[in-house]
Amino acid sequence: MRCLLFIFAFVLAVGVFRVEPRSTTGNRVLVLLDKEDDKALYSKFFNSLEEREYQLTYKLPTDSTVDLFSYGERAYDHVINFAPKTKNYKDKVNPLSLLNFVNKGGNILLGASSELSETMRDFAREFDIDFDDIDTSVIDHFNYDISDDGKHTLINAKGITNNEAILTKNVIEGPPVLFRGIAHKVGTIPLLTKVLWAGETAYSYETKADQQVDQEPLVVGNKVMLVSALQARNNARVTFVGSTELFSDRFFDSPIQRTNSAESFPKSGNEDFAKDLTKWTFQEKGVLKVTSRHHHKENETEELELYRIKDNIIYTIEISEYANDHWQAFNGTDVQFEAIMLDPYIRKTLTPLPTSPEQQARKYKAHIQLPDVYGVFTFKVNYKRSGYSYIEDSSVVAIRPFRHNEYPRYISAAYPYYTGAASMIVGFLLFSAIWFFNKESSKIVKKKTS
Amino acid sequence: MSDKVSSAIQKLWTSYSKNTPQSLQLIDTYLVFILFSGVFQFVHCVLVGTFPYNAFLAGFISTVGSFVLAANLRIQTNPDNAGEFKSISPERAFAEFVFCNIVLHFFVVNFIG
Repeated sequence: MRCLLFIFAFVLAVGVFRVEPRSTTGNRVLVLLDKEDDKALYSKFFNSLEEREYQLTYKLPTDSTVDLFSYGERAYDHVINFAPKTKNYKDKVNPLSLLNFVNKGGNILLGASSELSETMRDFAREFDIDFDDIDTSVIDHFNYDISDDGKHTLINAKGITNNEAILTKNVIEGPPVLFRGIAHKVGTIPLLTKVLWAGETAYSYETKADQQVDQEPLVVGNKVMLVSALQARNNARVTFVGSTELFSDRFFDSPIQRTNSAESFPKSGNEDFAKDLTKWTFQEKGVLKVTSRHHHKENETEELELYRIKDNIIYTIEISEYANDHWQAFNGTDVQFEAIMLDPYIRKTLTPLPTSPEQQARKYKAHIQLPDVYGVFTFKVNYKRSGYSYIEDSSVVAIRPFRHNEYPRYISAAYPYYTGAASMIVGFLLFSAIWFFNKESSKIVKKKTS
Repeated sequence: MSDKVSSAIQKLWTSYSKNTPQSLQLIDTYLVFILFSGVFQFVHCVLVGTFPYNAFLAGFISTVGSFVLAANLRIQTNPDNAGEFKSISPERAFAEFVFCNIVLHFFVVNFIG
């Protein structure tokens, strides 16, 4: 009896203290570090993650016990890779395994630095991102911070994306982000979003003493990418940050003031930026889902699998967005409906309907007249916007032609044909009557029978 | 030249009216009527457009069908072809003609809208 009571109390306690993960995919995070002590450098950053109910597991990439998968399933939901210097990654966390991890829906935050190893460059190349050579840094002789040590590598990021699916408004408009690290060049794949980039006067080069810039740098100006984000087709997110220092306590607390500028901030934008970036990367924001989809004929409510050509139908879809730790109505206004049979026959923007604040999804609606073509159609909502997870919702319906009795009747344009058909009938009756009573035709009969 | 053509036509016509049984001439008249009706509908459709397409199809197919059935009746009742249709008497040919026409017009009326 006592034992039972104990179990009951235990279950109750677990029920009470079980925390809902803030992320829509899970809260298990693997943190890879160059050496164990590095943990202290980013204590504020890691604490903020733990406050958001993530379970952090710290490992070295050279540790043979580290494994991204257990029995073929992901053992972690997210990976923070702050081990740019490490060269000898164990097989279980090498670029191929990390790629598999992304393919299985895991999210990765990759921090790089000027000492970035070839292993992580290989990984980045898989995502069409090319980090500059080892020992190079982003240099800007006009936008460096006043606390710079003379090499002009501690810069204030100039360009920041205005995509509010990724960053909140106060980060976009807030104090600039402090950055010291390596530049990268982004390719052309449309899955990539540029998040943070350098100013027009920046370039990427080695920073040895008396360095001569005698070769064309890999990237210059605002092509110098500092932070880029990629959302794979399976909605897994990978974020590349050229500077692990961006997440360090020192940068979080550092005041920021650009040289030759009177504007100064007591605290850099790094902390809020890092928070938004991890929120996005770990699927805490910009996550969309379809909660319901319905189509029916006008003045009816039943969803059919078979419609007639030129039928007037109503298509509705409900889309929900995860933001601020709960599902809420999505605010997009550019969601489109398509009726496709090899090609889209109809493409129409759905009208967002007003919602009340307690509703968790917004209804999008369109009145559609089906095309004058019969066949098997796919009704599709294919919504892909950078920063938001992709929506691809499709339902297959058949569209049939008019039945023989559904054609319009007694229209004046058809009268010649009515007359034609009627004349055929009259002609047939007349001919039959004449034939029937004709002596000559009966004569043939006689002739033939005789 | 035109003299020859006209005399040839003259000859054809006299031979036709002399040697063709009156019943077959009756069928021929019927066929000409159908032909003109069909041609008229087709030309009308080309000029005006295909709008009630089902009505056009029904009307036109009714003329084509009638023509085919009448032509078959002519072949089967022609005394010259008697050798080929030993098992089919002209009565039977006529009965089949009537039956097929009823079926044809049933579908035409159904489809014409």
